[in-house]
Amino acid sequence: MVDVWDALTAALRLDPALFARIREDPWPMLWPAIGVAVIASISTMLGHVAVFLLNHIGGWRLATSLALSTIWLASLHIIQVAVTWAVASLVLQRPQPLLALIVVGLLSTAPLSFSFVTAMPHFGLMIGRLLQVWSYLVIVVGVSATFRLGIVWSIGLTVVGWVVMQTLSRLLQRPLGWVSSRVWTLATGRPTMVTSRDILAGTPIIPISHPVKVGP
Amino acid sequence: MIAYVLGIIVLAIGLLVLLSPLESLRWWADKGEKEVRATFTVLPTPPEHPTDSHHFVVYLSGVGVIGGDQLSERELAWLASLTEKAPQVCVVADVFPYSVDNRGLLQRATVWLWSRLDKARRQWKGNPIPFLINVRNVAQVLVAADPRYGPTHSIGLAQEIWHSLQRHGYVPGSGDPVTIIGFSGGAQMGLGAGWFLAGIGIPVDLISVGGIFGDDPGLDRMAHVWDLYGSRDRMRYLGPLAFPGRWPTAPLSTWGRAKREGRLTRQVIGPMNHDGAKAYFGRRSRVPDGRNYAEVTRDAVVDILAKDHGPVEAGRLERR
Repeated sequence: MVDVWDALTAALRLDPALFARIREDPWPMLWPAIGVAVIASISTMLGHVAVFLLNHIGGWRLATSLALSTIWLASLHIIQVAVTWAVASLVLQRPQPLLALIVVGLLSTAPLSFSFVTAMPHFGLMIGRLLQVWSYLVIVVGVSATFRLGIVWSIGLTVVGWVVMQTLSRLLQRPLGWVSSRVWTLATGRPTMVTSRDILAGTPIIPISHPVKVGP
Repeated sequence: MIAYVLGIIVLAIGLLVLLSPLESLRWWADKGEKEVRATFTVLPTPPEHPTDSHHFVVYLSGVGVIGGDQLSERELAWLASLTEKAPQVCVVADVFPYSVDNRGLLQRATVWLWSRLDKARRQWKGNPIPFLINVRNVAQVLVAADPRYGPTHSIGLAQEIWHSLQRHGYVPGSGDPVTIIGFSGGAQMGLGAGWFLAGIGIPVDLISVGGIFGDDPGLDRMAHVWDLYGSRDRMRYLGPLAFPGRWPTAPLSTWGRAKREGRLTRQVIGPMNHDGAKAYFGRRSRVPDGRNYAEVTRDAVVDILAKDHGPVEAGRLERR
């Protein structure tokens, strides 16, 4: 738990020492990074309290939703850095450390630990965007340290990675949506609704509720 | 020590704002969805106040109010004078805009808190603690302006306005126009509710008096919006500041669209402040022609009602 807290605070500070440690030996940082992703996911779920209340979500459905959403949020960030890793390997023409970058991807969810604040009316939406920018900065600094590159190169590679990610998500919108929905339905026996925008935003996976019975 | 206390106050206010959407969301989850489906139907009971009027005015108060039946004396006097000068309109002023179910702050489990705060602000005008009432209601304005929570809140408010209109003699399906007068945060609440009222076929427009509002989707359904304000009202700048949709960088917002389509009229009506004796409903301060601020505001509103919905009786627009 202390390791998770240390990793969280260091990632929030964009601490170069943290990324230097990851570059040297990423394995010890893997579990703390997963812990950070879980905290970020719980916080993101709290930020989406509106959706849960509107859909009458509670109990085991809430727990399942939390588990699936944690996996999805972590996967999203890992995929993002994996794409950046692929772009970097192609551009730099030399093998790059993948595991270190995956740990960076997980740690980049650290600013999302404050996502519960996005529940705040009106200003929460703006705060949410700021947290996304902060998260991106963690990736930029992490890529820079892990690949031993300057910040400008790091920004260039992550931006290209982001563009590839956007393109892929649009191209794969239908199959991705189908797979997400299928996984949920298999796990819970209830349908869900996922759009490509939800997929990219790491929005919690929400089951569709049964319609409310009205009248006598 | 002072920093510690200030920190706790800021945290408490932050928590209050953070939890503010829960009221309307819980209402929606518990009973709102069912209620709303049955709401926009004709009330089975006859109107409590039958009227011959074919033009209804709904007044929504500012963030200092604690209930639909708790308007300040200034506001009540102003509404009485509006009714006197524009007898052809039926004025409805019993809706609490900062709640989804028209429950005033004195009709809740926390009545002990709100009644004490209300009493405190009457006894000592400079007391900052009763400002919590304003904070609570401002949070509801933010809820109404938020695309995630706003529709839930606004549909609740719209159904309360709809109920009140029918109680006051509005005939569903008549097509009689409704003008919402929103003072301060009441303007944002009016826009939100106006979207749903217009959706059931009621022609709606808005007169904002020192209004604080954003680029609400309701702007698209307002036949016209008049933004009346005083030259010394600084609070009204909160709207253009806090809502990016009202910035010049957002010409495609509902605000930009209303401007482009000529559905927006902004007018300085006098040297009013936002609140207090020298504000829109003040009766002591006067303009050079001898009218007090309340009369200036009323005349501006009566002018709009007359121009937009046919002439008021001859002589009623004459100013002193």
